[in-house]
Amino acid sequence: MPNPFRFDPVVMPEGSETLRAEVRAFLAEWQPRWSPRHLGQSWMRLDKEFTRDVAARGWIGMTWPKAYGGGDRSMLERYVVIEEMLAVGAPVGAHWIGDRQSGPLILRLGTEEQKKHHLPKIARGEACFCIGLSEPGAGSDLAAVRTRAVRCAEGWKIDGRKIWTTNAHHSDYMIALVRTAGKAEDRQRGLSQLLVDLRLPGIEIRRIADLTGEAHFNEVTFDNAVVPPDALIGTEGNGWEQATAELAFERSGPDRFLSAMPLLEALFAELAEAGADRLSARGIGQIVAELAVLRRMSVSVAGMLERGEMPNQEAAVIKELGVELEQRLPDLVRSLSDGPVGRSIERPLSEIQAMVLQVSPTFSLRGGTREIIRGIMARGLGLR
Amino acid sequence: MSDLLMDQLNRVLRGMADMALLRRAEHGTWPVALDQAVAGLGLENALVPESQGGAGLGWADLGGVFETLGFHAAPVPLGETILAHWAMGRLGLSPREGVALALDPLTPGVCGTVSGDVHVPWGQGRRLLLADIDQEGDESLLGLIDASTAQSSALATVGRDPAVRLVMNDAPVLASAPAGPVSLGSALAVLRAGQIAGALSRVLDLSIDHGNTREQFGRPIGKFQAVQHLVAGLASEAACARAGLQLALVGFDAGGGWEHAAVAKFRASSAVTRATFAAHELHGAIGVTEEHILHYLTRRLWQWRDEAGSEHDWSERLGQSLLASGSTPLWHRTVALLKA
Repeated sequence: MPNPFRFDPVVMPEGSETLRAEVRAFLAEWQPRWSPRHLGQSWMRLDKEFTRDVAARGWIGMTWPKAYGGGDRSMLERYVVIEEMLAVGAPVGAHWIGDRQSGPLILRLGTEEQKKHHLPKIARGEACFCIGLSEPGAGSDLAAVRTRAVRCAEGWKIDGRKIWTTNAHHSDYMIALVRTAGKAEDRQRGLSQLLVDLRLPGIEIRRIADLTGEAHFNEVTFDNAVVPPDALIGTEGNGWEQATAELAFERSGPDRFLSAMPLLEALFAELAEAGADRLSARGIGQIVAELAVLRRMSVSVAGMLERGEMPNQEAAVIKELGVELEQRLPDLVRSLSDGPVGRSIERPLSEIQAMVLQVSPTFSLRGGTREIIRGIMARGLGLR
Repeated sequence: MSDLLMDQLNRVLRGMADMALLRRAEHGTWPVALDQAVAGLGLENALVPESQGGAGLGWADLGGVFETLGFHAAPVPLGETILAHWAMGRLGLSPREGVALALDPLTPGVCGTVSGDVHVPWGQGRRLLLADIDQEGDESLLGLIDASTAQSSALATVGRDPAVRLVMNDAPVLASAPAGPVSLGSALAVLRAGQIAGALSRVLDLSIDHGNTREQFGRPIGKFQAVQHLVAGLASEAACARAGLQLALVGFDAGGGWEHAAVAKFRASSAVTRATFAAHELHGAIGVTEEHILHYLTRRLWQWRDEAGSEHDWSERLGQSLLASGSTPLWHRTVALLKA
């Protein structure tokens, strides 16, 4: 019986429950510092002191070889750590990108020098990375990127503009997808990835305020910015394949369905105190059942990634349904909680609610819009 | 093991359970040859412990079988028979023919009797009934009931697999035992979840095929984004139904019970709405004709969605339990549901 989806059973490694308890105890010490508004921002929020504390526990770069500052641990152990952090809305923004994709990219494709230079710093919580993909003219159509890098005596000269770069204003490095050969019409061909030190001259970072008043987004302009020759990551001209492989890692993790977990916990705490009624019971039971299944799939995908497989179809399902669940939570809060939770921002539940509600449109945009993901899924299923 | 058993069953069903057979079965012709071929596979004692002469398999070994039954909309009670033999084993009794399963629990009466009004799939002519018996608190009792004095009437259903309604008053309980972590209701919920997952997989296959072959506006309709999005949504629901099933099967084997059944049946039942909408929307008018196979699957999906607890019943029970222990964060309870 053919079935396009494999969610193989997963055996959690020995010691993972002890690790989970350690992470929970660590987070319990930090939680009193976080306001409802903080919790609503979840993993977008950045706190370098928190990141250094996480690093000190050995929880950044966990799966990397010890020779590069990592912990030589399994992806499933890493999974335990990151899901616990996401579940409480911890401010992991300063190490999130580096740990989730930039570091693994460098580990997979970097030269020995690049690995030795960058990975230990990421693992120590001392180097913050951001993603340079989208441009004003290239969002869903990523192959339309126009930022160019031309070889020069000192290395590469970059001209162009990246936008929607989360936390670039706090980042030390960007891994940017740029055109290094050919013309715009060549699309996916002739692109490369460059690891750019954002402190170099010719690079201007402008914060973009969002509808909540926060400014996680940035526009990064390159104007004759020169980077050394060793800024090239991987193979020249292979940027498209490298960047899309990175996206598989990005799409399947628990950040795709846990972004609003603090809101759900806040609602639950209020309902539990008020006492169960049938409507609340159904609403809560439904969400937990859905989360349990998404988690089951996500853990399974982590296991497949660990074995070197590329579970693109499975990852797309998690992304598609995970963000849909996240986006439903503000309305679930409105339907189940007592009193006009959405009318003003004066109690903790309302504060988290207000933040999640306003950022929720981005849940189905980041890492590939829902519409693009569905098209990719359909193609993978044999349509077209 | 799951794949092996699944392949064996799939070969039989693929060869014999075609649309003509489904049509005849729904018009009252019992598929004798198919029934015998399925019985010949010897799967009925899969869940009976080896010490009692069974195969001693785990729940996880049966996932493929449950899904394959759904994939083919097979009009045979293999799933129910496997559960009946399992339940008899739990009562310390050897399996026998003619034992049916009640979809709903019965209410205990005086002196070892039970009463109730229950839906019994494949129950026509059967005089022995296995059922959960309601008790105070969370523990349920599994019972074997003498249903010979029950009023039996044929039940018309959307799914159209044979079923009866049994109304009994003070029917004797012939044997009973504590159900253990997995009640009959939980087991039935997971069987139906498996059948739903399999049928969704079939509906997905049909939809992809239709998208690639049906042409309008000079091209296969699968080229249109709107169609691609329908298929992607359908596929996502099928994937989740399967993942929920896996969670429950592994959960049962690891000592879990109703909570795991709740997750599996909730997710499978809730997948049906979106998936059947997408499939019918995509197939257009041909998809609602008698002569097209789609309805043999979607009607059973609608039927199984509501048997052994709907998404509403299970989410309510799970939610009540979560709210009752409100000092435990939801996240901790969510993590605990996934047993390695």
